Amino acid sequence: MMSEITLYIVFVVLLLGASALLLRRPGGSRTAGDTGAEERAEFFPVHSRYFPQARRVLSLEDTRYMAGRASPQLYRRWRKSLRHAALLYLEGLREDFRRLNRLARLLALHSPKVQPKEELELARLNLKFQVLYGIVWCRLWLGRPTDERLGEMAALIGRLGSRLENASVGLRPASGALTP
Amino acid sequence: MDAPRIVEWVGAALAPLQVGVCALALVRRLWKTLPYFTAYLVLVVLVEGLRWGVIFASGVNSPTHQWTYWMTQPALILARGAALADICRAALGLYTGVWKLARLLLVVSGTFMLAFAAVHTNEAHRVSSYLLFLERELEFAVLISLMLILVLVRYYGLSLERPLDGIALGLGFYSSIVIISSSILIGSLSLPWWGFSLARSLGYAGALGMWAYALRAPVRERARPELGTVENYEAGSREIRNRMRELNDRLSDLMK
Repeated sequence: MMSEITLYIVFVVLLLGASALLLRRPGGSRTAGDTGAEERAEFFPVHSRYFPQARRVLSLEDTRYMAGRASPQLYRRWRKSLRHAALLYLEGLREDFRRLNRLARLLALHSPKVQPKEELELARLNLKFQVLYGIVWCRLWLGRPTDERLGEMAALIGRLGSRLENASVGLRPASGALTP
Repeated sequence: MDAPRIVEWVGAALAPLQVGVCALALVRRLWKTLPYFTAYLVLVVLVEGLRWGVIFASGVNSPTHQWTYWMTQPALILARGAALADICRAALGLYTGVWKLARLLLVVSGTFMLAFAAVHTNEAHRVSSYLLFLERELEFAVLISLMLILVLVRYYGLSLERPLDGIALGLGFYSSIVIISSSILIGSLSLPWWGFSLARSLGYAGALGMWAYALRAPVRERARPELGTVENYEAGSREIRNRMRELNDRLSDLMK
């Protein structure tokens, strides 16, 4: 009985604390109404467009070539710079996904009908992307090849983009709420 | 001064605060935004008036007062639940699709919590402990529902504007105090009745303070979202569609 009381109290305190945190306004974020043309432009991905260049840079061929030709010191410096660039690009891909994800939520917010199944699918894509991000990040730090995984990440961004394209085709103003 | 006397004094001090917050809500025309919450504040004033009348007539420890207290308490809990529904509607009601989804989630979670409460409450043997159990589980449903709606609001990038934020926090805070005090009273920890009453009175005073702070300035009417007009909505969706098509074509080329 005693442990049940403790459990209740701890759970309630945690719930209240989480509620207070959730009630804090997100710093610097926009409200859902801010969807003018300039703001809309900020939702679209930028970095995934440079995927072929990034893939070429991160390819094993370059690494083999440099390992065979450059001095060990130069090779180490080159590897370090390459890893730095790859991490920056990885962060860029994550930013792209975050933007699309935000756009997907915004579309759902203004859509007259939100399907729980689609929202779950979005959450699943999000989770998959975050897991891939973690894997690629670890592989980059370990100096392992990542181009295949990066390709999967770019493909996920494409899938999300495709979902959004379909979703925007299906958008129709709500009969009641949106009529001026 | 003995402890029960302190409880009476705290209760008496709470009465003007309750009337004050209720009056403030009426002056701010809160019923336009939150009709059920405003009704709840009025109900609290009426119920407290009735309870004080019984206390003056037959004493705080009389069975009549106990009976009145426990018979009016479910009405207040239900009114709190309705007030929470008010907050949910005010937060998401302008977004048709998400509001439908939120209602579905709230109904599912509420039904689950009430079913759990019904099963759990069967463990109680006396009427008073049955009511305590029931009250605790209902308040738990209120707290979980509040949490759920806050998660949804945050997930869709929205935020609760004043006075909704303070009112929601006050409701959650008081529900937490009720759950904790009821759990201690139900459990093996020995909490005297006056301690239970004092905790609740102070908790309610805290909630009233939060509500008064949230209502310190006139309540602004919420503007319809920018995409809420047909022109903006169509322009926005057209632009998104074109940009997405462009992106997808580009990505498809890159993947080849």
